[in-house]
Amino acid sequence: MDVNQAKQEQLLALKVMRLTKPTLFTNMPVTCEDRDLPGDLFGRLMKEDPSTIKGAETLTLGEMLTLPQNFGNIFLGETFSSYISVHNDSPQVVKDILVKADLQTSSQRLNLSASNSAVAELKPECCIDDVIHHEVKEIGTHILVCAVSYTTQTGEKLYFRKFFKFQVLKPLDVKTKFYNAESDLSSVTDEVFLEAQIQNITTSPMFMEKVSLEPSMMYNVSELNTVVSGDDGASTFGKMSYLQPMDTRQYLYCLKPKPEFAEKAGVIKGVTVIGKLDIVWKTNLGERGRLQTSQLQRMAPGYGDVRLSLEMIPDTVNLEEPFDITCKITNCSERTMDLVLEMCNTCSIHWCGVSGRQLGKLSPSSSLSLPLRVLSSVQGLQSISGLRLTDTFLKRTYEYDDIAQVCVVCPYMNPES
Amino acid sequence: MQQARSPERNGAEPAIARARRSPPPGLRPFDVERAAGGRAAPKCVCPVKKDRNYAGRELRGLRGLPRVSGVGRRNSCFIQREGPPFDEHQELEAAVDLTGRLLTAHGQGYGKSGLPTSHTTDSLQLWFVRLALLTKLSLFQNAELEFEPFGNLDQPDLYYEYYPTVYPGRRGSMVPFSMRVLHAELPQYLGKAQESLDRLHGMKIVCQTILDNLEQGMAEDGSMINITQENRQASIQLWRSRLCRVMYSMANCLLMMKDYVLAVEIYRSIIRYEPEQKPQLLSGIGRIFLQIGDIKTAERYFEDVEKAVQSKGDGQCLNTFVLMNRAFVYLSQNNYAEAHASFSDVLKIDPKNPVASNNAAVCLLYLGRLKESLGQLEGLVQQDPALYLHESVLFNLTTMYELESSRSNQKKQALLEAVSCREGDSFNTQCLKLV
Repeated sequence: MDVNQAKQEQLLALKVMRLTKPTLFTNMPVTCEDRDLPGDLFGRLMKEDPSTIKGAETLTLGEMLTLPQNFGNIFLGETFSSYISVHNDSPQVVKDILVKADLQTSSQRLNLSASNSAVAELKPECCIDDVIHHEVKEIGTHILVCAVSYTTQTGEKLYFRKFFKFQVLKPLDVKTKFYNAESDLSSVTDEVFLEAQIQNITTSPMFMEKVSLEPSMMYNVSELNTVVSGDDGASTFGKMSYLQPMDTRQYLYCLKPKPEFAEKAGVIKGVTVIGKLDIVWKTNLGERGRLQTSQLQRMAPGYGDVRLSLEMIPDTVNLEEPFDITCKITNCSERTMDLVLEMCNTCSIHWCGVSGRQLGKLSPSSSLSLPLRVLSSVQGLQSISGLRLTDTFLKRTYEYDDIAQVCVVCPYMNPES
Repeated sequence: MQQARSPERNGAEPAIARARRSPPPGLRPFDVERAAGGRAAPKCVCPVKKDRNYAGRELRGLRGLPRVSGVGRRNSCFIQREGPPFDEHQELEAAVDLTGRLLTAHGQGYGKSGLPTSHTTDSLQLWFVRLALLTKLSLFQNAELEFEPFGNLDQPDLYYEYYPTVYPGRRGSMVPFSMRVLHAELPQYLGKAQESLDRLHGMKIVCQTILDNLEQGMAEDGSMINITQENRQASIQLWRSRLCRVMYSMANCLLMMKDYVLAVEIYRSIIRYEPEQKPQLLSGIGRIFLQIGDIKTAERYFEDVEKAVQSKGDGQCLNTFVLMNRAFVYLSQNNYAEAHASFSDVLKIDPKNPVASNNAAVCLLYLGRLKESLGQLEGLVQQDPALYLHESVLFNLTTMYELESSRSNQKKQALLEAVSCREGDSFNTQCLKLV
């Protein structure tokens, strides 16, 4: 903290100390065995040392609390606590003392004093104490402004101020990524997966007490950060739920549109609000911090005018054997379409059936189910490609390639190979 | 080491300058010259201050420092026979000085660097004491320099077999086990924690192998020499305690490295060997979790402590552990009032518990009761200086002086005088923040 001393001779002195959590004293064991030259001397010294753990003197982490040594770092979301003491250094009684503590940030000025009423009198060697707390909500320079006004015995009104400047730093780096799960066989809804990478950019280990996603009204969320086995779920991060400095952790959430929005799932377009992350952490002896991200937004995947999704497909098929797939065609546009289906073979995928057939009219937001038959002439993981839909009204053709993959295996054992 | 002027009586500012954590200035770097054909003799590189005349020394003038002449140069067991070279007041620097002189009597020590030398069990014990004292004095760099000629403590001239005429028929290393522990622990204080850990792992394997040998009916070194059942049991016990000592060091080192997962794992595994330390160890692990901020896990460990002490059935002990741990949990929940109450409850059972009184005073400060807190700590230091003139307590006291008054320097100086009357030369005056 920077201190700007008042120049005028004052009767009162103001002292400020930031109250971070105390620390536990660690001692340094130096031991020997009974048959060594010092005998039990080192052992006795350690037993007599008040800071050692009696009965386990070689344990370095003691129980003795020591007060914070310096101002330390303060991070966004933590609580700034400070002791403010006004002491009467003079031999005379001072009257009508008013102590005011304000915190000046780049955008606002906050009053932190517990009481705003003046103290009637302060005798020599006595003090007025105040402990202030403030949850830090801004990054950057903060100035604690302490103002003291009082009246001397002669009736003279005196006033002085002190400034303490400190920087509020960013504790976490949060990166988010969205993954869209296309509606698959079982679900009719569109799920969104959110991956949040949270990095500890402070210099001390951080216990992550809570990292949760508060979804917006459109979604229900399920957290995928525990491995459920039996009744209780174990964290995917193991037993120790803390983050070392510079460590990053990935949290995963699955969001499902609520039923009332799910109907429109196929046609959710543009930017949607997903929700916000709420993070609570703790450090040394329960020093607490809390951050909320701003609303996370996601660009809904554009499906164009006609969306083709797969409703059913086998995962493994036999070589050169026809198999069935079911496609779902949704009209995402705002007009009625008249669709014609064409099926083009690729070097491995061969469509069975008539290409160029009419699918009929499809009104906006409606969909139809389309069973198709296909066979593969090549082994291995094959991509289903080659579907073309043409809207005869606008003469516009939509191409669908790489819509799914199947594993093609050979059912016969070849004795020669 | 720079000496300081004695404080002038007329209130000039006190001149106390003892840079404890850095090696004394004016020390020439220790050059390890190895004489051809012979092993370099270890050399004392820490000259002990010749003229020390700051406040403490003067005030203590008549108390009688141990002197070499008064102790005699019979090196073996000089502590038991002649009275401790460092008395109740921990004159550790004087003791370091003494070891230097005693080593000179062994043809080692000052000015003998690079000359061929021979070790005896006695000389190695002296070296151990000296190095342990340097470590205790936080003169880590000096200790490291003086350790250097010993290499990894496995050179041929450190074995009995190297001196067949002096130790006919004896086999094995002459290096005291405690010296190995010290050697392994030292690098971590110099920012080389990984090196400490490597050395400790090596020691752990040796202890484990010896224990396995003993348990399988062989001698320590794996040979088939017969040992009596009684000796075997004694040996097993010794090596178990050594294994524990090494494991403690490993866990402490890991804790310093902030590798909490491994540290907790090792502390837990010590419980198997030292079941009587279970409550202390479980409480310690709980405190580690509080330090990280994981209060729930800490509480689980503290519950285990309660169960462990209940099964022991020691009423007073039980309550001290339970109350102390409870106080730390309250503290971590920002509930200083309850934390203070719990520390005070400890004092009802155990009025002379220095930790509880200090911690209770610390809680008062967080409650905005500076004067009370200060009054309590001052009272403690005055009533029972033996217990409370401790670095941590004095650090807290001076911190509060700085907060309380513009005249903190006078008050600190009064503390210094109290310290100098009682404490030895190993006292770290840095905690008084006198600069």
